Amino acid sequence: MFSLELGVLCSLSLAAVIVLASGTLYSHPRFGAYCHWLRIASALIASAGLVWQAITDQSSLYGRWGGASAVVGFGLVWALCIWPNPNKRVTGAASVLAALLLIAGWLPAASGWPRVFLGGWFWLAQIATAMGVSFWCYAACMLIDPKQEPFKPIVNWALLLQIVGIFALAIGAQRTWGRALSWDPVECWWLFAAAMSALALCGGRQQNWRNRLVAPLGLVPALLGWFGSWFIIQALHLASLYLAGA
Amino acid sequence: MATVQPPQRFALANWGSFIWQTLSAPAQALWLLALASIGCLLMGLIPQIPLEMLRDPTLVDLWLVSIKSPWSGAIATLHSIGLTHLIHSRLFYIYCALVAVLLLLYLVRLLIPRWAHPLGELTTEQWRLSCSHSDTLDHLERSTALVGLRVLYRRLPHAPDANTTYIQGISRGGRRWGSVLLVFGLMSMLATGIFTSWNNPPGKVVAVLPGDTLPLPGKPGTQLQLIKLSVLGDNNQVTRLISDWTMTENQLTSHLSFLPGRPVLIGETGIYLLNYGPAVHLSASDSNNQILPLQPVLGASTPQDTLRLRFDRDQQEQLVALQDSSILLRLIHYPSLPAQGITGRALHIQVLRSNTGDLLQQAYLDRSGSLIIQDIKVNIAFDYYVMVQVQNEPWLWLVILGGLVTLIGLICSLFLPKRELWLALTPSPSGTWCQVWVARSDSQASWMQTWRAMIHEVADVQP
Repeated sequence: MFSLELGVLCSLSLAAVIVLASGTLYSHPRFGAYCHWLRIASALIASAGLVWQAITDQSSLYGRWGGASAVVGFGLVWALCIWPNPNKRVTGAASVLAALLLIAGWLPAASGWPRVFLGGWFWLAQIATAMGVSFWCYAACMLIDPKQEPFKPIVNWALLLQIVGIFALAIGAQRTWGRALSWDPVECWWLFAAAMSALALCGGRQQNWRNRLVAPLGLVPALLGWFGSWFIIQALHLASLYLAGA
Repeated sequence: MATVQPPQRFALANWGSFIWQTLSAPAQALWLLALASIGCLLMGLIPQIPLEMLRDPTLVDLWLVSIKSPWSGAIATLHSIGLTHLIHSRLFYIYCALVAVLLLLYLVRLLIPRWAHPLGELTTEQWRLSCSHSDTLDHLERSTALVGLRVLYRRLPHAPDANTTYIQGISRGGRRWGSVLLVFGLMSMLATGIFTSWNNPPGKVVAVLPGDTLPLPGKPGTQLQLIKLSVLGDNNQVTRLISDWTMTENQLTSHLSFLPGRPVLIGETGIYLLNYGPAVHLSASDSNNQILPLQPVLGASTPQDTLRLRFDRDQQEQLVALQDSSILLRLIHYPSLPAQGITGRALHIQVLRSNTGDLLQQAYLDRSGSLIIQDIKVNIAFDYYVMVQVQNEPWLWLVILGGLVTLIGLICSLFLPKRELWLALTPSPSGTWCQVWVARSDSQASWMQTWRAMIHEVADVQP
């Protein structure tokens, strides 16, 4: 009945309306207390739109504007969710910046990735979703005071998303090519990002790196994996070795 | 009151304890993860030799010469130190062994907790509890249990003070078993991965054309036959590939449909549809409808009434001889041929005289058709072939189980982090001195503040 992109757009718009409505209700004596839950509901609606996109879209989230809009929209709604809190405005700005970076990242990826996925597989596509959302988390952590409460859970979620993404990639590769891990350059970049995130989290927990290193250690490899890996692989002529036959 | 000292870290008597604590400390994960990151980064930057080429020194030499990358000048040096085949090098096996040993030690440490002065950054606090020693123990037990910790009393053979009671509070439930599950899952995946890579190499990839049969290894009574291939979508971008098969097992026939990305499991054997490519079916007959056998010029094959040919990236051209005639057919496949106005796949057919090589006739086909050569009719049917991988996967369930356990353990470890504290209680005439050690990251945690507030109710001295 609705096109996929329209459905995702509707869910994101609904989420944005809820967020804005909760912002106006914030000072209301009766409904103000519910604003927090309204924002959570909006984030869930946006997430549902993203998941719906990922499940129903047979091609990868790479190179598809519908998929791109889902991840970008998720980030924007998330930014709106935390925007009303004056202490976290910079975080919202960082999220918007990350959304713009994400849009920019889709342009080169659009040309190369659909061929790799050979029609696209749900599990393989989830790595893009997981990595996309995880570097939203790290982008926010770059600007949150590490002593504040949201820092630790956000870093936990970022790592969990990356690991879940790697597992999804392994399931997809096993189902598609019979090998969960082929150690091709793309997989190696994703693994590098996940290993660095795990390193950052372990360092933060055990060695108190949190203040200095955790967010950059997680964010930079995730950004490299997302934006840089394709350029690096092409510049080093690695794509022809591994991806041409796919 | 003198501060109670735990056993010295570097005392000769405790060297074994020190080594044990060092090797089984969770901090070792930092080194392992750093090494893994470096390894993944190197493999993302330096070209890696595929395993099937690595086994043949001639192919390796060819690969080293043909490699195009900014490192090509140094590729021989990189190869000599194992950086072009990191995943199959001794370095990787040593790393895996190191990971396995350290995971095992950490697992033992998690399952058999002992009172040991923890390594790493700690905060120390000292309290004096004015109630009796037994009341102190009772109060501490209750406070510690209320923050979700299990109380364990420890005897320390090398303790400096025989009167001191050592207590350890360790996590219960998901906070404790989460780490155990994580380590156990990682170990099972690692062990299964190493075992299967040695004992269960990947199955061979074979090209199958419609009509071909595919024997299953280890199942002599079972065979698969490809009946039909359907490629749905336009010529330039395939949207869906469906292959219909029949499986004959013990004289029972069943129909199967294979799709890329959706393998079929027959017992412990997985069948994967990897890829597809163009193929053609050729048949020829003379004016009397007498079938003329066809035979490829290259390769040792016998003449066939219907010849099936496939084209791939390495071979886009085929040469076919018509039996009992002086005609050769050269078939050249193009993914697209814009020069002839063909946007999809195209077949260029050249009819050559076999003794002189003169061109007699040529045609371009964009779909199935026939060609009349003198009094011979050649039928050409466009088709596809599929690349299929058949492999035995008896341990796949264990890897999946290990992955699930790892994921559950990871979620528990991230969101229900382990809590641990160490106490030394020393009775004195003025009350019981209680010394507390806790990890620095936990010293301001909410559970520790709750515990501290409960102890504060009966404590009268703080440092």
